[in-house]
Amino acid sequence: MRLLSKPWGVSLSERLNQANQRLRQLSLARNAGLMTSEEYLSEKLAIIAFMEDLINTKNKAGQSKKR
Amino acid sequence: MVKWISAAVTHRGKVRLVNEDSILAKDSEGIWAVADGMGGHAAGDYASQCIVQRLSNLELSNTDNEKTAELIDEQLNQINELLIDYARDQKFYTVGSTLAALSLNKSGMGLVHWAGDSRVYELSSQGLIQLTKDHSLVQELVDMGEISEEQALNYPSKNVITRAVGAGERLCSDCLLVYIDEPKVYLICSDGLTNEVELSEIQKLLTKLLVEQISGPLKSATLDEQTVRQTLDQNAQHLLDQVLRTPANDNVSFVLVACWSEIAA
Repeated sequence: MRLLSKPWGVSLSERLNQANQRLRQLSLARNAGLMTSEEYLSEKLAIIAFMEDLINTKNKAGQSKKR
Repeated sequence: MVKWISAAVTHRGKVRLVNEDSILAKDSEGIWAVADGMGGHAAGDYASQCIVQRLSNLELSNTDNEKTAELIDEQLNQINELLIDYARDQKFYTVGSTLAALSLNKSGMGLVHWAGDSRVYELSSQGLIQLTKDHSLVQELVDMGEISEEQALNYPSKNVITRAVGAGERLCSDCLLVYIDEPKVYLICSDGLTNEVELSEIQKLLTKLLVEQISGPLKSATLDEQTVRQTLDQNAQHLLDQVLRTPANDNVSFVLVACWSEIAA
């Protein structure tokens, strides 16, 4: 997946924009019949998991700095 | 660690005999929603109540966003089937409802789910942004360039929606991600609010709340949760009063969610 292929060098807010852009594209593809609901759900969950991982990593780094 | 406080309002308006909207504000689980039962169809109130009740049963306080998305998706599909079966049993044409929902977890990441023309707005230092895109005939005409956004505001078939929970065998709800990297206020609402109150008015009111009660006090470490809660309640009442000063032809429902990160303090 393009979104997941380049984890570094992009800010978190930019990454969030990309994730939401990708979710919009997936929605359009599903509605156009280009992917099934199951495929849509699977890709959606992968994006969410990826973003959650990035955010948790950032939060942990923030907490370490505070200490 | 992200914190949040919410205020929620639902009212039948001044014309409708029944309130077909339902709201959910469950701070303990980090989920808030507005469902607007389809007017002109039978049992819109039943449909919106079903959605809210099912979502309120979800235990989300210790789940990650991936699991939350899975659970919400599963629930919405089940409700969709339930409403289709109910319509068939009761010999109604359609029993359906819109949905706009926000879920947040303590990491600061959250999800927006929606179907139909109920909306989620995000207010931050960047201004007020509409996160959801209506699933409506008017929005499709705007997207195709047939009418302008200004024309859409007073378009005759403005209330025709193209997706809703219960409206079709396959529910195509949409989902977006949010992240609390600064203090924010979310507004989840039915069209009974946005059709009657100017967005600029809403933005002005909520910006004052955001700046004076959250962002400012957070910087000086003087944020008082009780004051935020009181102001949020006052703002919710003020918005409802604004609607009730108009003809208020429709039911009106909204949830305000103020959130901030303690790490950012």
